[in-house]
Amino acid sequence: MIFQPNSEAQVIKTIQDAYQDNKKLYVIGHGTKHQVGRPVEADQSLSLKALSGITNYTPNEMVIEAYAGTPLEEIEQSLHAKNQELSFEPYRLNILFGSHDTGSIGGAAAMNLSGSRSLKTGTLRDSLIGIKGVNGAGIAFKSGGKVMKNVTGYDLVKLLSGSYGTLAAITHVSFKTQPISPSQTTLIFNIANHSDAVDILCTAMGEAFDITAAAAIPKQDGSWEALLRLEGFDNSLNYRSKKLASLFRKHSEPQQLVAELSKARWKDIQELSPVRTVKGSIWRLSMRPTDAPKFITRLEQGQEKVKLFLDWSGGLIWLGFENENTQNCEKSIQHALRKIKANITLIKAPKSDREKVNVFQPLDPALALMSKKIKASFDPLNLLNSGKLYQDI
Amino acid sequence: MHIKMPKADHDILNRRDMIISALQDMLPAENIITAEDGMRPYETDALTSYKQMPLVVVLPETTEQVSEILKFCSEHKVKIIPRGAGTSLCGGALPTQDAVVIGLAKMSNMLEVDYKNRYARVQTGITNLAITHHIESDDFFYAPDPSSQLACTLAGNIAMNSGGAHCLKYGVTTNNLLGLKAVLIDGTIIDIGGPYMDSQGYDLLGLFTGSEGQLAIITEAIVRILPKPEGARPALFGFNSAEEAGACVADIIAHGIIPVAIEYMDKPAIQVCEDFAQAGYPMDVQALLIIEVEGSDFEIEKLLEKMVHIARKNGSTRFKQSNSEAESAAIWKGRKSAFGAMGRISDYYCIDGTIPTSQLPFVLKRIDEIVKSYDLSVANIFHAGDGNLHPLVMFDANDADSNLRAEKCSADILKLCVDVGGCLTGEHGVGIEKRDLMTYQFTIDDLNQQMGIKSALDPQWLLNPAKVFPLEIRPVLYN
Repeated sequence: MIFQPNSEAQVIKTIQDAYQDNKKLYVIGHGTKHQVGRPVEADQSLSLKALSGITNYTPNEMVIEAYAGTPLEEIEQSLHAKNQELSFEPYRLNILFGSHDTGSIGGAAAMNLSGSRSLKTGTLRDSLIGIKGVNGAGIAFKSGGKVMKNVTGYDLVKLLSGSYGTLAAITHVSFKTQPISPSQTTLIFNIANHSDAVDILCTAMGEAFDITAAAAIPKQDGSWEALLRLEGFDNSLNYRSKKLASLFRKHSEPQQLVAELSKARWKDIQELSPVRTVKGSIWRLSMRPTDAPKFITRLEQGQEKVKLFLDWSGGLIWLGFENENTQNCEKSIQHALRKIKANITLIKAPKSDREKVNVFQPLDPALALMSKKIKASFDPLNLLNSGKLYQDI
Repeated sequence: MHIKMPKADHDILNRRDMIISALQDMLPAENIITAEDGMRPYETDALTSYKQMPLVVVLPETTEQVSEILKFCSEHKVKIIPRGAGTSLCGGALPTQDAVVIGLAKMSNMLEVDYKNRYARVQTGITNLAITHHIESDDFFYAPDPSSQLACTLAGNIAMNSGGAHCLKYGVTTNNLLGLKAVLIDGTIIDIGGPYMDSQGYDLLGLFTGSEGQLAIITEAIVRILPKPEGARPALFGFNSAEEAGACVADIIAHGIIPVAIEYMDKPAIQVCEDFAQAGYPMDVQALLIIEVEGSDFEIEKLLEKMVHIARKNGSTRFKQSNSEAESAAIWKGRKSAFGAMGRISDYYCIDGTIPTSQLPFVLKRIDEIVKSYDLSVANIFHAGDGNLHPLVMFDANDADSNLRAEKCSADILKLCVDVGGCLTGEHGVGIEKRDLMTYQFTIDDLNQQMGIKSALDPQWLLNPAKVFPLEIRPVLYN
């Protein structure tokens, strides 16, 4: 059975009834990315899709608020009409699952869905300033609000962001927004290998260029492109572009994409073009940027054919395998990592495979115990998206 | 002085010698303070009207020592007050007579700096400014900059999720942390996050930051460090009214400009700060904006040109930009010393509510009315870009009636912030000061959700227990 409430009161009623009957609920937004995570066994589904609509948008205060089921696209269009945007530039994961629906804003919050500009402005959780939700006992609560600086009480906003609906059904969110930069330009350096490409990204990030995105993408001939995006006023972009170009002149003279061409290139990255066509599983790993080259070298020495690209100055690696055996892909990743510390997430794989591998990075026993206690404080009967993150969580 | 603290647990007081003796087995003698004179500096924090002598003060030097102390305290039901530098303006570090103060001042080492990956690993007893001092010769800095940054520790910044003038661009503490090492109440040592973005599982980094020392003691942190901008320049914009200044802030943002900082001062604040710092603030205006922009000289010139144009359009009557490093330093000295400068002429309560910025003119008018109704006076300073107000309500600490009126006046101003859609505290924290107002902003259900986490991680409510949540609504009742 699928419940599709269109008011907070109905969400409360649905969860209260489930609580009374001890029924497990599969909490989703639009369901465009519901295949991310461990498979959930539930008696009923709770879709927040009908709980939709922007409730407040005050451009001068750089704040937008909406019900959880509001399409991300609707939020972005409203912001663009006032020359604003969500700073964290969320990846279009829906494309990986064959959907043109970008999903709901609540779903994005539940996944902490964040993209290239997060390197500069933080991930979604850094822009999320308020949240309302209903916990596993059917009790509504709020945290944060609609002002940017707020340390009143515990920060449940961040705790719920990226909790994949395991703590509460998110019903309403408040985000800070930012003005869209007047212009942008992207410098692309052609580099012989991934090691030098990451070095360029890290060096550039360590200088005062105010870079808003830094990615590295392999080309078909085995060489790499290092992409650095600058945003701001035209005269400032010209100044910074020249300085950046001269800093790396020994590697190559950069190609420069200006304005719409630059936007198009980053949209391509936002849509995960370099990896999205693979037949097998898709993964993301975060690690120290300078660890990335060693990992990639080992991975490429392995047997699996893999497509990949780097974002966040090399600190975020997207992997797409051609091999459809997800367990073998996991082994390849682990083999390449060895002692490199990383946070691994399996983003796309068939349901049966997601039961066999670690979808999320395993937790230390102490963190696992603490996470279970926190889960129980929100959801005492373990009804909401049970097992989505980890066993019993 | 109307904020109640729980009565001391006599059972603990009676066991003081045993507790001290056990702590002496864990720590060198010089790391334990038991004499009244020695403990005196720990009896209060920057909310000086409240004082209580603690049971004992310990100053551990390692995470393992903190773990041993917490394990012991947990087993013997002894309360713990974590303390950084004691600069909390909300009584966050106020001890109780039956509690052990754990001061982190001796844990102040820089452990690792990695410029390529842009992070630093530090012990949390390090002062905020010391982090930047360690790395500034390599042209890096740590961004959050609370006014007390010379003295305050990172531990306290994490506990309160501190902000500062420059957080409009760079975010507050929680936006600049990558990882934590923390000790739970039972002595378990945990590592959260790591030297890269995105950590696994729940966002415990986000949960612990701003939890006011109630969930764990944070002993180490991995902080994001940033390359210093090529240059930075503050400029002063004077206005004849708060309304004009407020409209100017909104207009600057509407033009796609997010300066590094936008600070507001009203006339009384300008006077006090100018007397103190001789910063060159214009004295013939009703409202002053200090706006800082960053970049190369060329970029700064261009940005200031745009802002001057916007400011004039919004009625700005005075403009002055810094022409040297010394002038810039003086401009910021005036602003950052505002609390100290005010302290030279009067006792005051520093309020910390946040409001939606469009409510500014209304709120300033109401603050004026509220303050007058209590027969007090006020100077207004705030972070205008994000609506974080710091009205300084002046009173006479030697006059009990004046003190009480100031407390009530402060509470009314904070309620006003909530009424217009804002919150009780933007960057100082709840502590004891705003504890009893929490039910004004939150429902009992909201607070139960927060307290549920407290109970899950600290079932006996031993960590900094008398803070944040009103005493009468908590699940663990004292006395």
